[in-house]
Amino acid sequence: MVDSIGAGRVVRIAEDEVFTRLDNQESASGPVRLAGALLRGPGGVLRDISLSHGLLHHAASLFALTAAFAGAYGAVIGLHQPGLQTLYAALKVPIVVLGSALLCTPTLFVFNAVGGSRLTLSQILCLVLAMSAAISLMLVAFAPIAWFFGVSTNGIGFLTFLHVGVFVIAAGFGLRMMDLARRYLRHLDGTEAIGPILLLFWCGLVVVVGLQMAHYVRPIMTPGPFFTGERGLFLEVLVPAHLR
Amino acid sequence: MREALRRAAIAAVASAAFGAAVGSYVGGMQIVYAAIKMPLFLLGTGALCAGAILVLSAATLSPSRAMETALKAISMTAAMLGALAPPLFLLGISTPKPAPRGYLGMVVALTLAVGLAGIISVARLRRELPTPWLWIAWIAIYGFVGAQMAWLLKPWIGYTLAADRFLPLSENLHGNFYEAAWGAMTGLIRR
Repeated sequence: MVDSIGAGRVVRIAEDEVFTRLDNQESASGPVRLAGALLRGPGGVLRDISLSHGLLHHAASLFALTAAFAGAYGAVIGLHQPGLQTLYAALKVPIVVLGSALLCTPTLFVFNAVGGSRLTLSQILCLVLAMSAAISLMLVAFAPIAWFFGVSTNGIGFLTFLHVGVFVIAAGFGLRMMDLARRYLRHLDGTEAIGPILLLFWCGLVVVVGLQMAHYVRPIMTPGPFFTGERGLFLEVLVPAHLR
Repeated sequence: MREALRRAAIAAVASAAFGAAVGSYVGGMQIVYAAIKMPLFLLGTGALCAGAILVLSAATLSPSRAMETALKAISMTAAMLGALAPPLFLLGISTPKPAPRGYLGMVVALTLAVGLAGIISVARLRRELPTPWLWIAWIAIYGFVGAQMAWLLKPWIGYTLAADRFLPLSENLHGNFYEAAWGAMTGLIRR
């Protein structure tokens, strides 16, 4: 019992240190400065979102940042089939990252509002775009490594495994940032900005929607048209044909 | 900046010395080949991992501090490998050739040298980084890319026992380290 009280106090002290650091961080404007702010600590940006300062400007910058960085990683994936496929992949990856995040934004807003939160749709949109920008930042950070394996490997199986691994790391980074935003907004407002269970459910939803969207805009690595229009569930790829 | 260049120069010279020792078993041009490839391996892997390392460390380390720490770890590893180069060189030129035992002995000695230098520099790196997770992430990323880089730059010792290939890219671009390791493991289980 004493140990658990002690552990709880340690967690609170660690969280207070994080919030103090976030409190001291300045706001940033423009895609490049925002990228730096998201990496070092998004305290200033989160305070702006909490106070509804410059939401439109932040949203536009975060959107541009996500599109550019996810596009760069897409181009690296597409280099496996140089030419038109590189361009297609550079367009498809931002569609998957931004599309799945934006498709799930209304869900987060409505369920959050039902739960009693006062966050507006614009604030939620900015938070979601900050998450997708964090994901694309992590993707572009791994782009040189993915490129290196892409040019030094023939097997598409391994490359698929590698890219899925990079996406898992990037998604983890983005969702962790979303959780940090949730805790910091609660610290600023003194009220629950986003419920932790709702956020957990929503994160699962984003992952499922992202997988389905990636499956829908296939092929990304192999040659093919920009959009096949073929219907199908992403689970079909995971479950072997003879078990279906 | 000057300090970074100094560390990079130390890493290049020391790892080239170790590379020369690696190539000494086959001798001749293989000494030169491995001496050129070893700095490429250590510093090239670092360059490829720099982006991921910077982003992962951004919350706790400034970019210059992160790069300085990474370069310090690489140059320390290279310096230790360079320090082991003279005895390994002697081993290389004096081990029986061609003889399976000689080749295997060289492989074991080089593996032990790399393992020793790696363990010490990785342990030192822990003191430089603020969290254990960051430390694990750095090691995992560098190790993951380094294995493939070593595969791409092979042959190192020269299993044909001839300095006949500097960088056989057409051969090395078939498959990769992880596919080969997986193939070897499944092959062992099937037997």
